Amino acid sequence: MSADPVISVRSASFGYAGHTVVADLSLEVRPGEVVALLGPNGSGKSTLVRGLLGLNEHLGGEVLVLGERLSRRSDRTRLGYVPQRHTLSGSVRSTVREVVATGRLPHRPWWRPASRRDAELVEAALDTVGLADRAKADVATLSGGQQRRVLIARALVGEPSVLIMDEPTAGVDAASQEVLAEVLRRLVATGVTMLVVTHELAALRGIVDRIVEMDAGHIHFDGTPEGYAEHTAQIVHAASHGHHHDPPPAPPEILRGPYDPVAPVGEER
Amino acid sequence: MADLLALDFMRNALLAALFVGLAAPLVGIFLVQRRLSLIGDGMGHVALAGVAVGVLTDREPLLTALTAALVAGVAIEMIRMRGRTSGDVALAIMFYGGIAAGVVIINKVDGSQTSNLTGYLFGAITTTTREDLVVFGVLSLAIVTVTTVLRQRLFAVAGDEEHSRASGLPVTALNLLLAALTAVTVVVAMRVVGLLLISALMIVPNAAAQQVARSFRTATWWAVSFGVLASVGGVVTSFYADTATGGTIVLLAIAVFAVVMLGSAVARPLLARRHRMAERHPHEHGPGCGHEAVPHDDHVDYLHDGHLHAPHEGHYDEHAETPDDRSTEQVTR
Repeated sequence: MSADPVISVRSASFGYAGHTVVADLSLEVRPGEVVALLGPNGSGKSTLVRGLLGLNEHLGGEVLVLGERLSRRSDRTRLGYVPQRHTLSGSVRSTVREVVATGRLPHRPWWRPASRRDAELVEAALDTVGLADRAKADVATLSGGQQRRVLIARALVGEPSVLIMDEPTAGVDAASQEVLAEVLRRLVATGVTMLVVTHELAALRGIVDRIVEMDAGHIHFDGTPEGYAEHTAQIVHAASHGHHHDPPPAPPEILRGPYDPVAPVGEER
Repeated sequence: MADLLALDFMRNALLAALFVGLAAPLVGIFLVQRRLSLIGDGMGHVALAGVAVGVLTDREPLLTALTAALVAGVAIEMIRMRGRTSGDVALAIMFYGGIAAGVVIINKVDGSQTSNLTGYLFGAITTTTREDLVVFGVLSLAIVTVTTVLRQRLFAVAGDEEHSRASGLPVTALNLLLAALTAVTVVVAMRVVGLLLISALMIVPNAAAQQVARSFRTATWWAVSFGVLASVGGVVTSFYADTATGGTIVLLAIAVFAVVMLGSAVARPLLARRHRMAERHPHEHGPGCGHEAVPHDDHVDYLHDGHLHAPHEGHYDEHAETPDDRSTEQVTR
């Protein structure tokens, strides 16, 4: 793989319904990088990644995804997407394998049934996320963390070059977060590039090698996890209150809000 | 049964019922998945306006109804895609406008005592002609073919529209296709169960199927079986019981649903007795988890503190092979 960036955003704006959320933003992601995208709610993280996926409006600037202009991407499957809310609604029965297999659909013309290779990739993805023994389970019966892994497997069967994950650990209990982190570590070992939107850096310790923090539609930190720890320490020092991102000093029973039930981020005083 | 089959119009009616019973649940399962169970009713209302236009202009009502239902289907999809809250009201106006215009026009043309109107509202399967049958057959075949070939794509889009769009599936085209399939089903079912009962044949067999099926694939098969059972069974029942056919078909479908519900309610505690959930179990078994994997029939159990844990749905079950047997096995090995 060349060292050309897999994602290159130059003074780009994104938004929806004609309303700009992210303005004049520049960011490059290189092959093999595992980037955590942080920021408070409404900071534009989701707007940015949804923009990269073509789900939000690209309102200006230049955006290259795997060397192709955003508007003329020929092979959209190379960006694997793991959505935020678990979209596995229980309106009809569907098995883990059935949901994961839909990730192969964009790879074949509409009239062609699944090939043996499609089936093999589905089984391999189930193995990677540790759900091979639950392939026939109804997804609605799975725990939140298991459902997240179903969505990861669905993205993996598309054989993506880049995985974009929106809050993979949100709303998942501590034990399942550990399993999820293990799955992510396994993916990192395969060399896949990842862009992970998250509130819970602690759950991704040792996985992430670059941190980008956004606020109000702009990037205001971009660097290594060590650099980020220093950066937040300074902020904590400067202000009378703040956050730090060490492993959970607070007991896991403490609830922090809808997206932070396990609260690995301890709050100072 | 022979007396029934000896009658030409009953043979036609049975075939028409078979076509509808087969096609309607195949489309309906995607409507259930998208939580649009009542959309077929709305299209039925608009189709009545189409029938009225056919009566007024002396054209084949089946064709004008199909046109109206297709236009309604596309309009519904457009309104839904724009995602405005006012869309809901827009749909209501379209649906009631359709049925009101239909009633007014048909009564004006045919006179207020027309049986024509009742036939469309509540079904008139015994008036199915040979030509109708050919049309129904072709349309049903089209529905079965399209839903079979595109089953996975329709499933993906109905299940997660956003992910489908991000991965490059033609989401809008597939949604419009589903709208068109619904419109075709509405028009075929219009003569069998009537415009007011159309959704029932698309939805109720699926509701029953969801109680017994364990995957989307098997749910589809169950729904088609229940649909054919209700529609063909309804025609036969109404012949002997001398009841309104459309209503009988729908009541039979609901009876099937009730029986299946009751059956699964009875079966659940019986199955649960054979099925003990393992203690709270945060750890996930798998290759390299440190627990011994033990093949057990069609799956793998994990030996955990002397218990056998088997993955089931989102948790682990205790499997009944006693730990003592296991340890002797280990010793002798």
